[in-house]
Amino acid sequence: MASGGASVDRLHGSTDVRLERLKGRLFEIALVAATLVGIVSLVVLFGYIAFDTFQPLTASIQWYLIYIGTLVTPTAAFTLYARRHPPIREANAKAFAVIGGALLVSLVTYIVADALDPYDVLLYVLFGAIPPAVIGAYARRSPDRTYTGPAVVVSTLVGIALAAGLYGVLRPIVGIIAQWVAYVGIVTLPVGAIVAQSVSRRWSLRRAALAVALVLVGTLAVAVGALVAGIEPSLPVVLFSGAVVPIGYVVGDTVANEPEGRIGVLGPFVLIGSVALGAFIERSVGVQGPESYLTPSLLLNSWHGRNAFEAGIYPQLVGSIVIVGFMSLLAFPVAIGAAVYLEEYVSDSGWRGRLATLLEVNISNLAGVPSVVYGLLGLALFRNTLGFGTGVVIAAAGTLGFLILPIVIVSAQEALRSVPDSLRQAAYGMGASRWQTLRTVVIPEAFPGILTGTILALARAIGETAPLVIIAVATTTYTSPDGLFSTAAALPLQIFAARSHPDPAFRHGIVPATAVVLLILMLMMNTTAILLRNRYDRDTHE
Amino acid sequence: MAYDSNVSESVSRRTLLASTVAIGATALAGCLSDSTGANTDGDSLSGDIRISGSSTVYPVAQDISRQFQEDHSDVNFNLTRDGSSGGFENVFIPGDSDINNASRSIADEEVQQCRDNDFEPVEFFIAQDALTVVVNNENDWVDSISIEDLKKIWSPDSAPETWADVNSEWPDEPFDLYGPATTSGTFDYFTETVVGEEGKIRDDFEGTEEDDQIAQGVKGSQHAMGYLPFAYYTNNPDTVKALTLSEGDSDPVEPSIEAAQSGDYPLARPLYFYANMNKLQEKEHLQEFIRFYVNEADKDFIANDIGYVPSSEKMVEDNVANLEAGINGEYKHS
Repeated sequence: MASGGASVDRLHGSTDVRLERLKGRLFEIALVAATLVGIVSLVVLFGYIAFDTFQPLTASIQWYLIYIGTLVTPTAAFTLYARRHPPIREANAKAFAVIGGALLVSLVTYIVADALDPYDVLLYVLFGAIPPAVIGAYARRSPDRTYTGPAVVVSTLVGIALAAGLYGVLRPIVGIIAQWVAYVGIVTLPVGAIVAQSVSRRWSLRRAALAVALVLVGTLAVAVGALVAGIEPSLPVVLFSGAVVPIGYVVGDTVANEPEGRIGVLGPFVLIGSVALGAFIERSVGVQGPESYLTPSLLLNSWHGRNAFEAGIYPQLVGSIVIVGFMSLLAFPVAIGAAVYLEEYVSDSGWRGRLATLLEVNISNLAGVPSVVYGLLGLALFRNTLGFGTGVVIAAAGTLGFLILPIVIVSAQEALRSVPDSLRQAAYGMGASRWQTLRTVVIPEAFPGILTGTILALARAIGETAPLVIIAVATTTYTSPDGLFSTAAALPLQIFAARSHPDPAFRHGIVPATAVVLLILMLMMNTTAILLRNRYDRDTHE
Repeated sequence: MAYDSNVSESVSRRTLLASTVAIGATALAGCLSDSTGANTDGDSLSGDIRISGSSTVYPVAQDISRQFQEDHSDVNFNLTRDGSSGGFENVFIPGDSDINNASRSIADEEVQQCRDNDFEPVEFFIAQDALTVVVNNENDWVDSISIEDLKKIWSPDSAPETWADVNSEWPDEPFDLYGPATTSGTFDYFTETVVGEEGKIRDDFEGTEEDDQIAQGVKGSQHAMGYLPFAYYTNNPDTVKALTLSEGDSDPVEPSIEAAQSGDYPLARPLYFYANMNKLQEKEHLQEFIRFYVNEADKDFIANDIGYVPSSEKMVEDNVANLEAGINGEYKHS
């Protein structure tokens, strides 16, 4: 024993072993340094942008004291408290997700519908949604479901085509109703349908009917209230049915059914309340807050070239959202279809296999092609060949769609590949056809991965500048785009333009503030991706 | 299974009934309250106006279009910054834009290409952009420079190494030169006016797209020299020191709006915009906008807030004459 210990000691003490260990340590230090270089430079960059945007040094000490008292202390205390109790933490996270998500979705819906004309949106939504809903309802009752799947798809397409064909006749008829009623059709009805489905699945149809009636009556009450108060009821209607209803549903459900965690739903309200309290005290005491460039007028005004504090980016923001929205409608079905085909259908051998390999190599390479080249492609295709005109929404959406197509294909293929083969074999073993296996096993399992890849591609597309310059997308407009063939402005172009403004308030204030807006938009998209992925991950594994 | 579907049938019928009543009530209420929907501000002008071209003229076009849009909310503007040549080639000549901004006059080939596409470009000379030659704030040996010396400094034929090579009273220190990148219209104008041939310049200067970087470069080196748009200099006067310019035997002139407007300052670049005459004849709102534009172009804000040299009264008169000729289809570019 003693001699063994001595030999081990000798071994540890030998120069070779020590050198070997030193090498290991040095390698580890090099890895830490490599990690830190990236993180530290990003932190410095974002810190710099945030510093320029919010101008923290212009605020007085009292302002900081007020907000430490009203905002930081209670929120931090609540968060610490929630972290200690897992059920409360979970309820807290759920409340934050539903409040943030519902507000975001309803605001974006309102902004986009408002830009595109709510009546048009209503027309297409009704014609696109009612036929499949009717078929779906029929399928629930009928035992024979062979044709319902294809019929849902076909009826949606036919409905939209009908709406487009009969547009000239129907649009004046739809135009009779007040604008807010159109929003009831766009927002309240789908929300009501989702609530009804969820309630009927969990409790009974009777309760579902009650819930839908409550939603409709509540929306009507809000609209009537707004009309009486002399406010245009559209936004209140959208906010009530798009945000208040789902928030109320989730929060109420948590409070009623999760007695252990119910206190957690207070989290977002603590945050909102303390911000409001801080703002109230700030207003009444009259202290000097920071002269931030990220103001409501930046978000809601249109561009002003002379006064930095009046400059706004609303049309550019809406333009970017509309372009990226249409882009996803164009690109995702194509990309996901291609990925499923390449991954699930193509055989590995024979001339088809070789063709598929060639295709895959090309797609992987296309993912790295500089975006300017896609701009030239868009110019050649949409302007010179199809004659759509330069800088219209559909040209911009199509060009960006080409840009993200390979990225989405590659990520969707990756997601499909990660589904274990044993699942497919098990499905085949039970007699399922390839289509049935795909529909019920493979795609649901791969869905979170596909979704993550696609939303990251969206985030990439919204920041693209070079291809938009080439196809002459506008830098500045004063109105939001109102259709596929209307011209739109894009946010990154306005950032680029403001960068060469002679007034330093633009270069060092408005530019970082707009960059922060773009970053927040991107972060919100990424957060949505993560939340959806987590949700579906849980659904498929439980 | 059968029992379930019966239940769902009976209840869903009730749901259907309830929701039909609710939707009906909603729709009815909506119809009744539609008297507030009218949205007319008594302004007959409506339509789109697309403005492409030079990023130098963009601030003027942006500001004037914003003012016009405030009074005529149904007119939609669309402004792109593609550069003078890019705007002509990609957007204006194919007939996509109504107006193309240019920081130089239109070239003969471009006029020909417009005519090949069956329209005449109508020229409007709206402002000037004075260039400022700047040196470091700690530079105490030069306050004024002649165009001839500038040519000697920037020309590739002489390309002096040190300040003393140009003037023996100046220090024997190497030049540190900053200017706009070769893609810029400012670069084209400077080389043509000072060096004598467009695009001809010594190759050891630091070219950049950003005026800010020129100013920072000159600020960072005591023996530096550069040139900038006057608008940038007036907004950032403390960063660098501007030189007065003389041409031949004339007295040195300080860079200023007044000097540029009177024609005494030798480095003032004309800024134009060109309108598509066919669209001008078709679109009433375009006529109104250009009328507003040319009449607004002699106002103080162009000098005070944008930093350009505004139109003189003579220029406004010429522009109005061109506009009327364009509306009547009689304009011919020469």
